[in-house]
Parts: sequence; structure tokens; C-alpha cells
Amino acid sequence: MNSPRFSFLFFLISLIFLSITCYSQQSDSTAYYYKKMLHPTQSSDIPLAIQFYSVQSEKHLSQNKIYEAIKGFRMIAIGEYEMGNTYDSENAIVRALALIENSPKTDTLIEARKGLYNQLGKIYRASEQPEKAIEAYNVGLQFSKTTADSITLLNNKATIYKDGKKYQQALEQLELALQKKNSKHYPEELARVLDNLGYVQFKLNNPNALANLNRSLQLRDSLNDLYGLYSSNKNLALYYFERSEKKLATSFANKAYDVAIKLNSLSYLEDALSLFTLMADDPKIAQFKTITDSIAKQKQLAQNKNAYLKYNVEKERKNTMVAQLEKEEEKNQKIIFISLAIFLLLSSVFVFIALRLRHKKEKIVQLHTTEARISKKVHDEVANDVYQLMAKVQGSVGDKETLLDDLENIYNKTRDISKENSAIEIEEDFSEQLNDLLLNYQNETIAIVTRNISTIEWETVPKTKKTTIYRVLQELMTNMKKHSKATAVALTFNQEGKKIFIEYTDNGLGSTLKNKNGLQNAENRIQAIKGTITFDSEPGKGFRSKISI
Amino acid sequence: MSMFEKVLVADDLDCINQGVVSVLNTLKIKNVTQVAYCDDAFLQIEKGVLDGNPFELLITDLSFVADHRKQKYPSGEVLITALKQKHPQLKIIAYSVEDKLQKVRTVMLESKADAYVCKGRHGLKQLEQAIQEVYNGNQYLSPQIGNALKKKVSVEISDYDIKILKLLAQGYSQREIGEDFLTNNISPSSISSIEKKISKLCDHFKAKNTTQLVAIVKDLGLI
Repeated sequence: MNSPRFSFLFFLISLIFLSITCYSQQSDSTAYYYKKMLHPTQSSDIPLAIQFYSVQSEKHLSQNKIYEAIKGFRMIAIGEYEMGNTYDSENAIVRALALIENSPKTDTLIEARKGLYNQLGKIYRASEQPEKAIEAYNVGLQFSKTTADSITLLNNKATIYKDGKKYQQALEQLELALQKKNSKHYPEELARVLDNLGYVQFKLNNPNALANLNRSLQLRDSLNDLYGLYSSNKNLALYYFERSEKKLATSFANKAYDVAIKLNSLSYLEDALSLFTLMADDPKIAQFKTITDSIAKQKQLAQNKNAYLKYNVEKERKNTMVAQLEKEEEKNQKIIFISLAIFLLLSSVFVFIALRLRHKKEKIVQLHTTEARISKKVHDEVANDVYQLMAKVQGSVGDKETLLDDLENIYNKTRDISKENSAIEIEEDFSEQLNDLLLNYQNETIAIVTRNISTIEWETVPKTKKTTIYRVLQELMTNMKKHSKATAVALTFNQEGKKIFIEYTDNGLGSTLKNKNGLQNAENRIQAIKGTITFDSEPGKGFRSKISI
Repeated sequence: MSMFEKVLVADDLDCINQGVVSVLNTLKIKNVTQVAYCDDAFLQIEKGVLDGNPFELLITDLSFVADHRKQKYPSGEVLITALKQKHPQLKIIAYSVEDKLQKVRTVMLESKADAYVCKGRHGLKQLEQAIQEVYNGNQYLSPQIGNALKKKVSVEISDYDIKILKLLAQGYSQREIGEDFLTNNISPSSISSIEKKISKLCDHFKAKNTTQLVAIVKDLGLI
């Protein structure tokens, strides 16, 4: 008993352990690629990280982990931006923003939104689209709750104006940033603002320029912010170069160069060296710098256009593929529907034919029974009587009157057979038609009454029912006239819903009902339309019949 | 005694024609023409009119057996309708096996025949009477179909009748029934109308008195 319980416990423990290792592995690799993305050491780092985050994001999307997916897209956007694929970067951000918009917890995702708009601004800056960049930063500012956030965004916004040589507007943004409370608590941000402020003031010939540049340098020095230090030294070099203080300018350019070497970054080194070309005595070297810059700019613009086109073509291709898939699916659905319709049609045709065949068979059977019935009647009633009459005439020639009586009898019988089988046309006023039928049987000795015949809603009664009622009553009356010697007949009608009840009563001789004579046919007729008919009679007590159809 | 002088007989059975002709002979009508098709009958009538010596009476069957000759007038009814429209002065007697009241009604009211005689044991005798009546400007119907044109003939028994019969069965006198009707707001409640109704019911059921009447309707389960 113990061993299975133990093994089950063991199984449980191992399961938990396994899932924990899985989870930690997962978070380990996330941390690993996070580092690779933000601080790449090899050229393959960013592409690998992008691939990792792409897979992760799609997985999170399918699991409905919106927040994780948004984070993933943000990382992809950063990676693509670093690779220079601004359109792919922009696309990732747009997807992330769409997720936020559609998320029910939009409010809790403010932080993510702000970050995404900041990234978007950076993308537009890199692809030389200053208006769009400003717009992105403005949107980002709406979502900035903390001072640090707004300082970063205002500073970035100012950078755009600075790029476009709109120094006055840049100055406004930077002054706004400085007015933020607690800005001292974010020394790195403050240093960036001061550096930019100094540069802008220097361009505007503001006397405070040098002081701000120096304050930024000191702050960065104390923070050992290498990237910041590079920027401060570069800006100071430019400041002194502009004021023709070549010695100081060269000294700061050298400092910037040293920092670039420390940073071990090719782009910073390139930038540092370009300072020297700018400050070179030979105008041709200076011209080289301006030309390479303008070529680089042209290249970037061309790349933008190319990327834009490529991106649109790709998007178009994807749309077409999606449309094609939809079309394919629609086609499949259509095929399913059509085959279903064909199947239904075929089966209904089959059922229809089967029913018709059955109906035809039933009709033929009916026809044969009718023929047999009429033939029997002609034989029993007419042929027998004629034979008897022939025998009588052969034996003794009676008087003419009795002969005529016998003949009339036979004549009437043939007419009854004809009447019972001739087609009847159901008239609009069926109760009057029935009345006429009954009047035929009323004479000097037989009184007939009907009760409630006009209370039946004949116009709603189907024709087949009416025909059956007509025929059955006709047969009952013929039977009465032939056998009962009744002097009074009553027919009582009743209707309950769609059912019609008819009660026939006469005061005739009655019978033992052993031989139902002509009534078998009435019974068949009633049964054919799923009604019931009962007979009740005793000798000397009249005849009763109850019909319900 | 004057009589029709020129008569047309249309029937597809010769023996019947002969019977009819014998009747016409007893009525001393000599100018008798026989045809076996409705179309022929129509042409004969037209011819008579054109010759200035028109037929005065047509005796026609209603049902003609269809054969190889295609007929413009397939039945006696159609023929009667057409002739009565064209020559209203021509007298027409329908002579048929058919004794359905609806049929009689259509022939008399829609086709506008002057008489309807049923073929049967007494058919020829009735035909003779019919010819007399029609000659005198009257209509004639065989007795067995005599009810056909009486519009109001109905065998329906009303709630009012049943009420009277029920009270009679309970031993009420006619006066007491009248009083009962008066208090229960049933009209008519006058003794004379109740008396009239009872005598009508007795007539219908051939009862000699109210006792027998009650016995009959009780047997029929009406009360």
C-alpha cells in the first residue's frame, strides 16, 4: 500500500521541481537576451535577441499575456532601431501600442506607453523626420507622471529642435525641463539638460552658455558618466572653436577623443575624429567633413525611402497572402455548403420519388379494391336480381305490372351503384349540399332531421374530409332506405377543434350487425382518412352510428 | 285542345327516343324530329328558324356518350344554355336519369330549362304531364325532385324546436311552454306560434299527436 503513495509523492515533487527549472531557465534566457539587446558585444547579439523576442512575443500573444507581449515588442523595437531598421522598429512599436489600446487595463500601462512614444521619437529622429518625432514626444509627455520621465522627453524634444537649428524652441523646452521640481534628484538627466542648454545658448550667443556647459561637465565628471563626458567635451570644443580659441578647442577635442577610446566605440571615435577635421586649418579638410556629412544625410534619406517602399511592399505581400488564405478558406466553405446543398437536394429528390412510388402503389391498390367492390356489387345486386327475374319470366308469365315492379327495382339498384361511385363536386355551401343529399331520401314515409349542421365550420374542413362525409352519409342513407323500414332519421353534428363528430340515429328495424352489408365500405372510407366509425344496433331498437373524423 | 305542333327530341339512345315519340303520339303531335347529337339538335333548331317554321319544343337528355364526332355542345346543359340565350321562346324539357337536386337546380336556374323530368318507371307519364304544363306556360319537375327549387327546404331542426320538444316531454301544455318562453326571454313566445311550430313538427315526423312526436324524437336521441 505504501509504495504507490510514495511513488506518487515522488512524482509530484519531481514535477514541481521540473516546472521550476523550466521557469528559471525561461527567465534566465530572458535576462540573457535583455543584456545582449541593450549592451551588445558581438555583431550577432542584436539579431539573435530580436529573434528570441519575436518568438516570445508571439507565444505570449497566443497565451493572452498582453503585458509580456508588449514588453517583447518594445525590446524588438529597440533592437531594430539599433540595427538601423527604422521601419521594422516602428512596426513593433505600433503593434505594442495597438495591444495597449485594446487592453482593458489601459490605465496601468502608462509607463509602457511613455517608453514606446520615446522610442518612436528616437526612430523618427534617426530617420530624419523631425515633425513626427516632436509629435511622438508630445504624446509621450501626456503619459509622463514623474519628473524624470518628463525631463527625458523634454530634453529629447529639445534635441530635435537643436538638430533643426531651431535654437529658440529648443531653449524653451530645456528651460521647461529645468523648472521641473526635484530635477536635482536625477543628476544624469540634469547633466544632459545643462549640456544641451549650454550648447543652445552658445548658438544663440547667450552669455550663460559657458557656465552651463561647465556645470554639466563637472556633474558628469563626478558621476563618471563616460557617454555624457564625451558629449560635454565635444560641445566645449565646438564652443571654443567658434570663439577662435584654438588651443582650448583642441584641448577639449583631445579629451573627447580620449573618452571615445575609453568607450571603445567606433561611432564615438569617428565622431571624435570628425571634430579634428572640422577644426583643421586646411579648408579642404573642413570641406571634406561637410561633404561626408551631407553625403551621409542623403544616404539616410534614400535609405528611408527605400525602407519605406520595401516595408510597404512587404506589408502588401502579407495582406495579399492573408487575403488569399481567406479566399481559400471561403472557397472551402463554399464547397462544403454546395456539397451539403447537393446532398440535401439529392436526398429530398430521392425521398420524393420514394414517396411518390409508394403513393402510386397505394393508389393502384385502392383502385383495385374499388373495382373489386363495384364488380361484387354488380354481381350481387344486379346480376342476381336479373337472373331471378329471368327464372320467374321463364316459369310463368305473370302480369305486366309485377314484371315492371321487378324491373324498376333492378333499375333503381343500378342507379344507386352509379350514384355511389360517380364523382362528386364539393360545393361552396357544403351544409346545403348535405341538406340536398338528405332531401333525396326524405319522402312520404321517411322524415329526416339534422341538428347543428350549420354550426360546423365547413369552409375550414379539407375537401377529402368533406367527400368522405358525403359518401358515408350517402351509404348510411341508402342502407337505411334498403333495409331499415325507418320512419325517422336524425343526424347530429358536432365540432371540437378540427375534429368533427356525426351521430346517425334511425327508428328502423335494427339488426344483429352480424352482416354489415353495405357498411363495410363506409368503414373503409373513414379509416382511409384516419377517422373512426362505430355501429350500434339491436333488432327492434333502431340503428345508431357514431363517426369521428 | 291545342298542343305543340313541331317537336325535336335529342337522345343518343334509340329506345328512349321511341318511348318519347310514343308519348308525343298520344298527345297527337305529328311533326317530330329525332337527333342523337347536341350539335345536330342546335342545327335543326337554327334551320327551323331560318325556314320560317321553328320548333316549339325540345326534349333533350343531359348526358351524351362521347364518340368519334367532336361536339361543340358536349352535354344537354350546354345545349340548353346556348339555345335559351338565342331563342328564348323555344320551350325545353330536360329528360334525364340524373336526380341530384344540385343538377336539377343548375339546369332549371342557370340553363333555364322549362321542365325537368326524371327517367324512370313513371318517366313517360311524367313527361306527358310536363309537356302539358310547359305548353300552358308553367314549369314542371318530377315529384321525386320536386323539392329542388324550394329554396327554403331544410331538414335542420333548430334549438327553438328542441326546446319546445323538451318541454312537451316534461308534460308542459302549449300555454305553459309560452309562459316559460316569456320568462326566459325566448321568442316567439305566443301560443299561436308555438302551436304552429308543434303542428309543423308533427307533420314532418308524421306524428298523429304530440305524444307520438315526443316518442319519435326521444327514440332518435334528439331530446
